[in-house]
Amino acid sequence: MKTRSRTPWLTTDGWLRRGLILLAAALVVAGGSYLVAPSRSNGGGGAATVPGIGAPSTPPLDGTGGGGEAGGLVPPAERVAFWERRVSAAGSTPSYLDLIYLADAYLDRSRASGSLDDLKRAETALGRAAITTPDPKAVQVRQALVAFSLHQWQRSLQISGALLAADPQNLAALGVHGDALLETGQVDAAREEYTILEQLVPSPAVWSRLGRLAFLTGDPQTGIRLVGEAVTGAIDEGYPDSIAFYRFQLGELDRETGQADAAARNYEAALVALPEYVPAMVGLARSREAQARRPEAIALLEAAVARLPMPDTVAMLGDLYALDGDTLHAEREYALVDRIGEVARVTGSVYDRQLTLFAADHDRNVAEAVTRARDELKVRPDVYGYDALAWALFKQGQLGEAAAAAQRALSLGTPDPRIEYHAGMIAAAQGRVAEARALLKEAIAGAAMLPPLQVPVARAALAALDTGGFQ
Amino acid sequence: MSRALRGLAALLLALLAGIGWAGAASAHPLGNYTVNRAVIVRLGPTAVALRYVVDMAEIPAFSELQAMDTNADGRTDATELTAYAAAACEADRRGLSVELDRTRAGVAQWSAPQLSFPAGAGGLSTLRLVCSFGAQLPASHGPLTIEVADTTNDGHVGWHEVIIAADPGVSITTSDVPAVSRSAELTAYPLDSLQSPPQVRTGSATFRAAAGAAGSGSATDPAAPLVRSTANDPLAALVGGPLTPLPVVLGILLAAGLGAAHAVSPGHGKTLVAAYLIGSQGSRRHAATLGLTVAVTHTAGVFLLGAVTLLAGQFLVPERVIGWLTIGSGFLVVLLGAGLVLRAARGSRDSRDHVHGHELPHEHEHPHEHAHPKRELRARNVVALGLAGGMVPSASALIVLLVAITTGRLLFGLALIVAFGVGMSLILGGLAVATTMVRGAVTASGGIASHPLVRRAASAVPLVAGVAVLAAGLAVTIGALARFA
Repeated sequence: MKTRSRTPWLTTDGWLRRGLILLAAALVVAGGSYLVAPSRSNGGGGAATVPGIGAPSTPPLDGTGGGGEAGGLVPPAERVAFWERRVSAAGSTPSYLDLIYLADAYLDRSRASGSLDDLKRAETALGRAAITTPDPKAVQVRQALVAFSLHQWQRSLQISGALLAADPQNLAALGVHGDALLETGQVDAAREEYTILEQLVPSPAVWSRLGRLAFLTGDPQTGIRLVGEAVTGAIDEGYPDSIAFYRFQLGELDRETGQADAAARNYEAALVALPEYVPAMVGLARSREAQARRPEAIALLEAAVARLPMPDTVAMLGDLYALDGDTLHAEREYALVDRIGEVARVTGSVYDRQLTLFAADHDRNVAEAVTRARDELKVRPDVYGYDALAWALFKQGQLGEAAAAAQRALSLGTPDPRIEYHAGMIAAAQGRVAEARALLKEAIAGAAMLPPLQVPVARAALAALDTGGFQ
Repeated sequence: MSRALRGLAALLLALLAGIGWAGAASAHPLGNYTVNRAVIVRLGPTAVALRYVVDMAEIPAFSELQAMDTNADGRTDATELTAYAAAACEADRRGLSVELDRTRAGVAQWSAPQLSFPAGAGGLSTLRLVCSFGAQLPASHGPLTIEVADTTNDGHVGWHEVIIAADPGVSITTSDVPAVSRSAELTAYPLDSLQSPPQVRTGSATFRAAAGAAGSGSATDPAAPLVRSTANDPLAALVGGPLTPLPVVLGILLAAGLGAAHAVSPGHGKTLVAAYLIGSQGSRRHAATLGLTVAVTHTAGVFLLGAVTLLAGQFLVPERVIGWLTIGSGFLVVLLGAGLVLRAARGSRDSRDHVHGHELPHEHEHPHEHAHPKRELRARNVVALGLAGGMVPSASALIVLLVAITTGRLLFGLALIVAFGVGMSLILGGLAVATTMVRGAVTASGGIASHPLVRRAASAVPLVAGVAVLAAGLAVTIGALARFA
């Protein structure tokens, strides 16, 4: 036990003592104030590169409690920066694990931004990891995913198929293989693989897939329920990227079933979890237009186009200008879509369903659109491929072939308003009045999915059918 | 398939979700849509020249070309081009912030904008705009600090860089940006495909006019900032670096130093330690126990969290675990604070009853301790305090562990983490000892404590300290809960 009298150096110097007392008091006060601001207390120095440490949470845009969902990992861009530094610091011999983590970070970032460049960077990182990895499967499954994201369906199917042949329970390979099957119209095979997945690892990633499958095959309510479960599961897991994606997916299903308000809430929640998530910006813009909030819709589309000028986003912006009577700006956006198509042709990396639909919607270069749709159908014969071809053929006046393609597009019972609108217009032109009326009614119920300029066309067609005045 | 493997696969599956579909749902992303911006600063003896360069890829260039055509006749004439360039540079000038010694400097246009349309993919036009601005320096000046910020952010993705270089006769002492553009001023982008475009929109430098000091290029070595950025987390950089005896020893010393720095960085409980010990008559032995507990808890915490992250990644996200630990730590502090307050309250009642009045908290070397045994600081409370202080793993230490695992240097990583914990505990323990000494000094007979005012004020110390601990604990707990809710 120490006694007070054994610290004479303190008792003999009053100033020193007073100074130390003041210091101790100041420490108490300062400590209290630091702790009152806990967000500051975590972020010391370079520690910001650790996922989730000190990540600020964004306030929710609405009452959906999105703020809590936003907590968690740092934004993908910071993850990319961290692994890029690691790889770059290692010079010519980066570890294969660093390269794989870097590829994952690129993939995450591309999901938010839609950046093709990030997919190519991921491909490069995986190519380098493949040289030294003792576990080629981990690299290959990601290569299958990159191929899928680049719409290289056959390559994606081939890589993931080979992995599955070696190990039928390779979960990640099952996921990407099933997705590629679905995108290439092999619905039953995709369902089989998703079902295996659900048995092996019931998780948001699987429910989301089954939800999309349910919607495509004509059961939107089950789709909404499953994707809703995926959202809940993702919130429990805490990955903002996943939350954003499932929220976005749920928003799309809401919109396809005519629920613009619910859709808007889901897109907003997606943007809270991942503020730079471009597809959610576009979805929210479409919901805003459906909610008669056009100025907000235009502002959102302008922000989305700046980040990622996709043909259908630019075309929709043009449509909204046109509806506002601003034909000059509308025409400029349409010309920009044409330019995007030219650039895509020149760079050789992109073929695009959106360009086909834009051309058919606006009666621009319809013959070229038909050719593009036929070419794309060869590699991607899913319902949307037949839908695009049907619409382009309709605009070209080839009603018989258009009707056959529309029939294929409807074959799964997919309740997508765009498919219903196109098929309804074709049926009306062929004089199948009852069928046309039913389809157009369905399409108008989900008007938020239609390009804005097509909504009045659909309404006029339905009215004409009702009065017997179509054609 | 083992459980751990299945866990990793499930994690990967979660990663896969949505990537492809975002592509499918929103169709294909297109390249060639970047807008790239560079601010090139040249420091002269009397003025600063700023070149602001914008390089637009084919798609945004096309939008701008359309926007230039103000009379909408389908072509851009010389008048339209000039008007566009002037308006664009004016907008960029307004977006540019230049501060000299923290005072906003006026930025003026120095010469006419240069607008050109270099051919891009397939002969399609791109757009290049160069604006020339400048700012005057004070007539006579010593060392100056310049801070440049490009606040233009229109949402476009692209390459953003800030360059600061010096004319002959001016020397740069420090700079946080390169002196040479990595993209040759947005004309030749480096081909390293595993480096994302830089996102640098601010730069600062300290410089002075120094006749005869020309050619001091080493201060602005363009490689310097890169080196700094890789060393962003010094511990992690160490684990990844070459492994020879000297770096190992230095590394362990550095880790201990970082642990010590970590202990004095905001919010790591040393103020709690001080407050607690002030209010609770802790001894130096308690202080030592405390330091040891913190070191052991912290080291164990990092190991556990590292293991959890690797093995149970699909069930538990590290930041969520850290969140729970923070709540637990805060709750523990609340309990300790509440205990202190209770004890202080009882203590002051005691002091009214006892004629010999122990108003001041002090150690119990005197024969009266039997009268108020509640005031004795129990070892288990000290251990609890140490747990609270050490249970939330440091981010830096966690990175070290994960990096050590991925680079196959587990032992070195473990050694660094232990050193980190030791450094941390030395500071916390030392602080605790200092606190007990200060308190000893206050209570010393014949010292300042004999002044009646001080005696009265000091009698409130245990209560104030207890309230401070309680409040801090509540703040941590509520803050952590709020982030969960």
